[in-house]
Order: sequence, then structure tokens, then C-alpha cells
Amino acid sequence: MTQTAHKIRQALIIEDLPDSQALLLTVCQQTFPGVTCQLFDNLHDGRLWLTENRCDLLLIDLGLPDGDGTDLIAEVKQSAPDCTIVVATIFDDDQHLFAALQAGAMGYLLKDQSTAQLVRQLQGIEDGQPPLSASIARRLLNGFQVRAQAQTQPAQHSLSQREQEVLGLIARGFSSNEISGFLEISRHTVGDHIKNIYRKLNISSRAEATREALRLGLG
Amino acid sequence: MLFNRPSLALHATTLLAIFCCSISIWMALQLPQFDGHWLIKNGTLYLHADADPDTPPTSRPLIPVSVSNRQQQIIPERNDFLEDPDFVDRYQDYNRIIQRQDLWSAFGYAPLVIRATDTNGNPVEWQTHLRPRQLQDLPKEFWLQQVVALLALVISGWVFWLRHNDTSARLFFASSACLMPAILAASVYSTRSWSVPSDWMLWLSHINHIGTEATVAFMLMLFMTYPQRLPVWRYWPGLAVLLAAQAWIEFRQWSDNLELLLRWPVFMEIIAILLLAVWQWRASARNPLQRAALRWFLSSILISITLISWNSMVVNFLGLDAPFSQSDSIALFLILYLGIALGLRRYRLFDMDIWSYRTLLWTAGSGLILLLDYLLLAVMGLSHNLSMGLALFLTGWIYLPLRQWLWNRMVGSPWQPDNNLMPQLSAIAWQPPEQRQQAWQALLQAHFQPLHLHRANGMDADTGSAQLANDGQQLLIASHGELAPVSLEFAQRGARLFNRQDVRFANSLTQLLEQLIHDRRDYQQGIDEERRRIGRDLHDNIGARLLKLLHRLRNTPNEELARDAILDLRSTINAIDSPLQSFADTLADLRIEISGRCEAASVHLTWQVPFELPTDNLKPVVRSVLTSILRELVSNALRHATPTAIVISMPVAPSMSTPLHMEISNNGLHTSPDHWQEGYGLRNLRGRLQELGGSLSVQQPQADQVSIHLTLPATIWAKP
Repeated sequence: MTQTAHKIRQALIIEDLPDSQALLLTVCQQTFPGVTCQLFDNLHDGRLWLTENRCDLLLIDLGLPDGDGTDLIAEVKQSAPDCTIVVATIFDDDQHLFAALQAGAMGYLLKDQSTAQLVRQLQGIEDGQPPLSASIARRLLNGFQVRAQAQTQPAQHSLSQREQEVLGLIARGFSSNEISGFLEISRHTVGDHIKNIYRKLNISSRAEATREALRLGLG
Repeated sequence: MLFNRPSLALHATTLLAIFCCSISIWMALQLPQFDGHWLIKNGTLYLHADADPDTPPTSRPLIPVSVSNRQQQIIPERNDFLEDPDFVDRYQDYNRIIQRQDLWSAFGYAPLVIRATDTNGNPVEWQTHLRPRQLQDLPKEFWLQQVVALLALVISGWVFWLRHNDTSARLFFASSACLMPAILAASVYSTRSWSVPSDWMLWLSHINHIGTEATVAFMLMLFMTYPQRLPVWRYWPGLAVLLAAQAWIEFRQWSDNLELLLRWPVFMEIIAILLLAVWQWRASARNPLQRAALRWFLSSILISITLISWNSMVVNFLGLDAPFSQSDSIALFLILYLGIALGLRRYRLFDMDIWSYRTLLWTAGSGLILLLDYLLLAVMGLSHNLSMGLALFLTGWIYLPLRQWLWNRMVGSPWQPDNNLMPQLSAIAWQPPEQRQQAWQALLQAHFQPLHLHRANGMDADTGSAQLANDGQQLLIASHGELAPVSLEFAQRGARLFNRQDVRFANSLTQLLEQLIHDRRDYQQGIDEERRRIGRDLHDNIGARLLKLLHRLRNTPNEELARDAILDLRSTINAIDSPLQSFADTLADLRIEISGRCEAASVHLTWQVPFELPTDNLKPVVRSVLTSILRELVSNALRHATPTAIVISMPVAPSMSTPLHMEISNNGLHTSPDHWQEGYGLRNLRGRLQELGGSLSVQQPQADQVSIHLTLPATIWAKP
């Protein structure tokens, strides 16, 4: 486990809607008192800022005026692996989020929720309780199963028995609380499993990209 | 050539067999018919008189003394009425039987007197006369032998025409082709009622002897090479010369000892066949498949041959009466040929495949229909008192439709270009990819009517074009796109060869199908793209605006309205992205959504739904209605009742045959449901629910509790 809880001092928020920007700022400040927040409404400025600075938390929208937030997520995951990356979105389905999670996001916030809920969720991500929607869980489950069957999956990228169970229950719509009751493990352990699933998703997608690049003669 | 058209060849073989049978039937009909029959029992000749109006009709056997008319008188000899003249031990007796036939034939149809004694020694005189033979006079033994002869040639011919390059198939055919004349020849004289002209009997007997010797000789050679070629096979030319010489010696009667010249050689050959069978058996010890086939083949052949030879030869050696007549023993050959025909199917004797049965069935079908035609003519011809009107009615309304039905069922219509090919091809293109191959093969089967059609996976797929193989016996259709290559053998049920035109036609078919599949894919891609575009627009424009609205309405009573609108938009976009979703997944999404909302409102949610839910897809409209209704009901409860607990329950999972029942109940209600004013949302949903055949009812079991029961019929599932 490389990801240990660390203090969030510097946050970067990239969001083009002013209202949402304001909301995310409020949520960020309420969650991490004393945090410094840097706000941008496009990818370019955010990327430029990151060349000089570093952040502990990146809150990013996906559909930005000058591109897809997913690209920046992948860059930050490479340059600052310790940074907690969170997607701010209004859609939690696999079509919109999966690529961002593969790129290295550790969770997501649904912007239509109340400030109190958002604060709780962000805290959860930082405490190791990342959210995972049923549709994404199903897609993950399918993806890992297909790769396991094709045996292109090195052992460290495949899910453990427990992680598969957790993922299966999420896919059935169970909440973290229900899962911890069902599997008789603590809520934190459930969170750890989910974090691991995220991590393995990111590792295996990068490994796949590398293999693909090698195959194409770019490696 | 016939080799390339097995169906045609088999028809020709059948016709030949029918022709040969016709000759023997014709010959049998030329013989005189006697209304009594001769019987040899314990070495004594008896006479049984059939019903005769004038003379003492007696069922008691008579002992014949003399037969006479004005010209001649004959003292009957026992051997005159032996079934087969070769049932004696010396050629002297054999020749005498044949010579005396002409004496008997000389009676003609003139009146004659038979003097005899009954078993008590009293003289009996019987005046009778011979008459021309009718078809119905021929005994069942005679017909049985015709059937066996026909079957022998047809079944061996069938094996031969499909496997003509195989030595064992050739030997089997040769053996049966020699058996047929032997049986037919014997059938004429052995079922005679009175006599056969001497020269006929002489030559028929020669045919019978030579045919039998050749049959056994070819069978002997067959066992040298089937199923395994034994080392002794290399001596076959010597063996052939030896056996031919033996047949010549027998024909020329080089000795008076018939037993030595005829029966002993055949007997020895059968012993040799048994020895070879044992040899083959041992040779196949390491090959269980071959052994299973051999077991079947051997039992068929050995049972029939052993019984026949035991009957006609061993019994002769022992000087006992045969337990059944020679004609009856011929029926044992039925065991052989039916056994082999069954074995071909079960054990692939001679390496024949199951499809080869189609040729045989087809021939049998057309033969049966010809027979029906003949029977109709016979019935019409015989029934003089059948009125013209009735005859027309029978033929037109009963017979012809029946014949057509039989023809379609058993023989099928002759090949004709199919005008429905275009719609069929188009239907294939619209089928799911995994079903296309099967539909494609079905189309090729229907169009070319090959005897055998299978995937040709080993074929070189790069040629891209159809090609002929084995001089037109085979048409290979290359793979195209996702379609695997296919091999077709024996066009039009084996009635013709594949030709250049077929190749061109197959090529245009594959190209057309490829084009159709391609167009279909483009079309689907267009749909998918458009769907994605709509989803993106909804997401980018409406989503952003709704979110803006939500931000403006935060901390006002209308905040929830905007949130519900976003939720609905979310499901709409989900539905656009993946129109089909399983029941289990739909409920999982609903559960997450509802539990999130309950958690936000600090309401305790109890979700009582079976752990295993059907993974069958819901119709998109059902999924949308179900999602909207549950969402609306939960919203209403949260907004109006300020509950502390919500229970969503489904006691039994729905299935293809059981309806869906769900109940949403909550506490904290203040007004009675009777006074509810249904908002637009719920009214609208109730209407949509009714359109799907479902219903919704509200109950208030306790003052502070309300439960809403939701029912949907078992028709909610999307077609698989």
C-alpha cells in the first residue's frame, strides 16, 4: 500500500461551470480546513500551473472546453503518484467514468448532490472509502473476467477472491455498509478492497497500453 | 460418368435389378400350374391335392402311382420333384432329373389322370389338368427370393457407387452381383408347380452353380482384405484361377461325384471364410473401432452363410431332411443385407458416412412411388365394374394428392432456381453474427441440395473464390468475412455434377452476402453514432443546464425537483448508451440510487429482494417505466411523508412465466391516501404502467403507514 493518508494542503480544482466551481471550492474548504485551492476553468491553464506547482488533491471535471479531463488525470498519475485525483461529474455510469478511472482517478463526486453529501464523499475518498457505482462495478467485473480467461493477466493485476466478492456485491447494488455486514469485515476493509480494485484497474490498463505500444513498435 | 452421380447410378442399378427380376417372373409364368403339390417326406414322394370340385378332395397325403393321358404314362420318381436337382450326390441322378422334366412338360394342358393310393393302401383316381400360370399362383417363396435378389444388388450397388475406389466395396458388390442371378435362377425352378423345360432347368442350374461359386469366392477375397489387408491377399490371382478351374470342372462334370465337385469346394470355401474371419478378428485386436465394425459385419455374414450352408449342405451330407426349404433359406440372406445396411450406418462399414443413406432413401422413395402407380393401374384394370366417375374421383382426389405428397416427402422436387434467394440472403445479413454460418449453410443446402455439406476448415481460405474439386463431385466455397469455408459434395442429391455455372453462382452469392453484411454493419454503425451523438448532446447541454438550475435552487424547496430531473436525464442517457439491460442490473442501479437518496435524507432503507435475480433483459420501455416509478414513489415518500423508514420488497423474483410484484411502503404518513391528489408525475406513470398491462394500488394498513403495490405482467422481457 503506497497510498497512506496524508494531509491535504494544496488542492487544484478544474471546472468550467462557475456555479460548480464555487460548489467544489466550498466542499473542498469544508472537508479540509486550511487547504489552499487553485481554481481553473480549462485544461491548459491547469496543466501550465502544474509545471511549476504540485498538489495533494485534484478535483477535475471531464468535459472541459479545451479537452477531456481524462488526459490530465493520466499525466498527473504519472508525475505525482501521491496526488489524490477525484472526478467531478453528474454521471456515474461506466460510459463516462470508466476511462477516467482507468487513467488513475481514485473516485468521483456527483455534482448534483447536497454540499453535506459531497463533503462526506470527499472525506470518504481521502479516508479510503471511495465510491463505486454498480454499473462501473459490472464493467470492471466483466473486464477482469475476460482478461483472466484470456490469461493475458499477470497475477499481480488480477483480483483476489475477496476483491471479486466485493465487486460482485457492488454490482448487485449493495452499499459498503451492507457489504461489510454481509462479508463480516469492517467498512474500512471494504474500502481497502475498493481502493485496491481501482489501483489494479489503473495498473492493468497501463500495462495494457505498454503492451499495445510495444506491439505497435513504439516501446 | 455414373461414378460421379451416385443417385443416377443407384437408380440405374435398381432398374437393372428390377429388369432381372422381371425376367425370372416372366419365366416362372411360362411354367404350367398344377392344382396340387408334391411333397417329399422321409424319402417318399407324396401328393397333396388342392381343392378340386370333381374328385375326392382329400387333405390326406396320397402316394402317387402313375400320371397318364392319352399319349403317355409316367411313373413319378421322388427326385422329379426335388426343389433343386443338385440335392443328389451323383451327376447321373442330377442329369436324369433334368432330362425327365421334358416328359412331365409334355402333358401340356390336356386332361390327365393321376392314380394313387391313400395311406391305407386304397386306390384313388384323380382326373385333373394343368393350366397356364397366373401371377397370383406364384408362391411366397418365389417373391421372397425376388426381394432378396433385388436387395442384394441395390445395397451392394449403393456401397459400390459411393466407394467405387475401394477394393473391399468392389468385392462386396461383385459378390452380391453374382448372388443375384444365382438366387433368381433357382427361384424359377425351385418353386415350380409341375415341371420346367429340361434345357431351361439345365442352364438355370448352371447359372445357380456358377453364381453361388463366384459369390463365395468373392466373399473369400473380401475377407482377405477387409477390414485389414491380410498377407494372404497377395495370392488372390492364384486363388481366382483355382476357383475358376473348379467351376469349369463342375460345369463339365469331370466326375460323377456331385458332392465332391460342387458341395465340398463351396463347403471348404466357407470354412476358409470362417478362418479368415478369425484371422481378421485377431488382427483387429488393437483397433477397437475396427473391431466393433467387424463384429457387426462378421455376425451378419456368418449367421446367414452358416445357416444357409448348414441347411443345404451339412444336412445333405448327413442325409436328413432339410429343416426348411432352399427357398426359405435364401431369406436368410435378408439378414446379411439388412445387417450390413444397418452396420453401414452404425459402424461406418466400408467407411461410409451417414449422409450416404440419403441416396438410398431417395431411390427407395422413387421406387415406392412407381410401385404405387403400378398398383393403381392394376386395381383400375382389374375392377371392371368400377364406374368411370368413381375412377376419376379416386385418381384425382385421393391418389394424385397422395402421390404428390409422397413425392415431396421422399423424393423432393427437382432442382429449380430459387426466386427467394435475395430475401433469404438479406435475412442472413440481419441475423446475429453467430447464427449466420448456420443460416448460410442452410441456404446452400436448399439451393444446391448436396448429399453432404460441411465446414471445410482446412481449406485454403485465401483464394476467395469458389472452386470445383474431384471432377465436380465437390464444390468448395471459400470463406468470406466471418463466414467459414464450406464444402458441398454431390450436387442435387447426387444426381448431377457441380459445374462452372455453379462456381459463378456461388461466387455471386458470397459477394452479395458479403455486401449485405457490410451494408448492415454500416447501418448499425450509423445508428450507434447517432445514438452517441444524442447522448452527448443531452449530457453536455441539458446536463450542464440542469446542474446550473440545481445550483440556483440549492437550499430552496424546489431543489429536489431539479435533482430528480438530473436523475431522469441520467437514466435516459443510460438507456441510450445501452438500450438493453438485465432485470438484475436494473435493480442494482435502482438500489444504489435509492439507498444513496435515503442515506442523504437519513431514512432507513430496507431492501428485501431475492439475492439471485433473472439476468434476462427487460424491454427498454419496461426498464424506463420501472425506474421512473420507483424513483417517483421514493421521491414522493421523502417529500410528503417525512418517513424514518422505507421498505422495498419483492417476495419472489419474476420470471418468463410469473409476473412481477413489488411493494414500496413507508411510515410517517399524515393524510389518508383517499385524499391524495395525484400529481402529474404519478398520473402519467400510472398510465404508462397500464399500457404495459401493469397496475398500481395504494393501501394504508396502519394510520402512520402507506404501502404501494406494483404489478407488471410476465411480458416485460425483451426477446432474446
